[in-house]
Amino acid sequence: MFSGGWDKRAVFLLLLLGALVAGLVFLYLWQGTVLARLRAERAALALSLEELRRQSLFLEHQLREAYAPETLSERARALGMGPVDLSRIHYLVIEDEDGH
Amino acid sequence: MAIRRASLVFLFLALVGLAILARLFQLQVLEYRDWAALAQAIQEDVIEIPSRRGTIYDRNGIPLSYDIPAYSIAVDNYHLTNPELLVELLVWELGMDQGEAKEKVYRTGYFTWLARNVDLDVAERFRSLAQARKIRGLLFFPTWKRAYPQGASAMEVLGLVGVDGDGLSGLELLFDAVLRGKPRVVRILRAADGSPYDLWEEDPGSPGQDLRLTLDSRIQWICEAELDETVRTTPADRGCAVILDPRTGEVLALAQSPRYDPKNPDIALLKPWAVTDVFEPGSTFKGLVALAAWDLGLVSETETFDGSSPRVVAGVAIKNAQNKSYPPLNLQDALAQSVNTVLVQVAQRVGTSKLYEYLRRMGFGELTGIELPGEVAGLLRPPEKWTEVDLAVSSFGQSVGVTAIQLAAAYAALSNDGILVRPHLLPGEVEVRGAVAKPSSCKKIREFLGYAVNTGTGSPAKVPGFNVGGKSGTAQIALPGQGYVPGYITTAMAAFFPWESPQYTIVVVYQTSKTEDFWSGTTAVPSAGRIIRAMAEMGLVYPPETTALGRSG
Repeated sequence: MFSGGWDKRAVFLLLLLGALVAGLVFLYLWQGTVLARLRAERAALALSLEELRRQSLFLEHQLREAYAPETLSERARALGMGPVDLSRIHYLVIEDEDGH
Repeated sequence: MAIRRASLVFLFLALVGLAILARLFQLQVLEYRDWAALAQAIQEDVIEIPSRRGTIYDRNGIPLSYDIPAYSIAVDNYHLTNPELLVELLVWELGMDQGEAKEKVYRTGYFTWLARNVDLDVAERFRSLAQARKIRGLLFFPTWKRAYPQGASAMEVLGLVGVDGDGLSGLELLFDAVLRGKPRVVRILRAADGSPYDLWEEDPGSPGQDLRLTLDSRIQWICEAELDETVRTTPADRGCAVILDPRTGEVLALAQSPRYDPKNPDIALLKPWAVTDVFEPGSTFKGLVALAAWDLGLVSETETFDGSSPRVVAGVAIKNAQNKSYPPLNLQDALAQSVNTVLVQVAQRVGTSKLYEYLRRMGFGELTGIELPGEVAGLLRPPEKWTEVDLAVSSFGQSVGVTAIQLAAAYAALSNDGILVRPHLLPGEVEVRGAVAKPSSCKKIREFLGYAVNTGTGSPAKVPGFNVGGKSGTAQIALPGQGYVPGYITTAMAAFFPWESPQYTIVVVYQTSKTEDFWSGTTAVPSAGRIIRAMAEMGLVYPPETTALGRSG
């Protein structure tokens, strides 16, 4: 079949070239697929990052609310820590042995 | 034969190939734009993410108002499934009225807002419950919602933001253009199952700019707590307090009670009445009239005045409080005991035109220029319209109308050796509006008012070690078309400390419509004292004689 001027070396080179082209096509498609998958992952991550940022802001807000003077005052009162009522303070005078 | 058959097959294949090529040409070249647009419409979403509105901070960087993430929830009524369960969910989770929920859910249309600016946690719970109940057709739009981490503090100053992110009142309205940002536009390429395939930013947008105020949230809270307590425990209908740094005009607190509560909204309480409402300042004006007289050299420290009551001016009997008469007394004692009849004589010496000139210099009868919408100029009639009686009663704060911020600014000028500065909520250069009186005159009147707090009517404001000075006042309220009505009273205290070189100027005002038995000595004066004491307890102010070493002693 290859006797009409096609020597083995030419056939080998042709096959090698074909394999190279096929390899490059495969590599292109493979990398393209990987790239597409990475892009999709990046998009999903960007969206979830946005969502996490929003959640973080919301949690920060709840923390700030918890530390607002009004909230702290309410919580302190609930724990029985009210303002000092001077009229209810009685000083106990303890004398030492010398009566001082 | 075989060649002919092969030729036919070849021809057929060539025609098929040609047809494919022609179709490809039609799709890819001739109709490229239409198909690309169709594909884009199916695969791509353009999302406009609202930008975050600027944050409003106090002077110490504590946020007072900012945007928190939220969701706006809508329904596509044509694709909705299980509407009865959705109604139930709206009632239980969002607290919606049953009738309103039904009206929204059973409405005919592709789009109906169910709730705007729902808190993030509530919206996420709502979404997961809806998914569990297989409710389809719900749309969740990420958005922002204005939040107030310090609760209802300073709401009348900060103002409100509408559901669409527009400033509606207060600083939010005045600085809307600064605070609002530009939305971010994102394009998402979606796969057949709707999951994102690619994403890119078409317009990065820009967040709104932040605002930093001169308010100190701790002092603001102290004032609000004090006002709340006094309004709760006395017949006061309402109260307001203003604290200024007299040297710069920075407003450290501008509080009122009752005030707007985001959890229980009442729009009427959004008005910062320290700036928008006028009242007769009563005896707090005596300090300012005395300043004018002293500055003109019309009174001396040793000179005594007749303190008997009543004193008749142009046929009108002018009385002291409870018609009490005093033996002859000097200006310092007259201020300490708040003797009307003495200050009438002082005002008469000053005269109408000079007193008017001084009051104008102190900023009465014109806007202070504070950055709040709705400020009023107060009432100060031109001198040609003053009668003899007007001059006499103006000495104890009648026939003039002032706002709390004007009174605070005037007392700040007295505290600042006579230099009147514009009270302001946004930090910046000190804006001097003019000189009111000589520094020596201001110092002398401050000394007199320090004496008034130490020994006189201002004594409930005394805080040991802080050298508080000030003047109290109680005045009837004139209602439109009715004149002075019994039971309508304003009480006020204008104070500063330490009187030698004041760092703070405080004005506290209460109003009632319930009783005649309403006095500054039991409302505004002790309130001012408690505010100073609370500031000291919180470590915000120290007694003037304190040194870094002395405090540990």
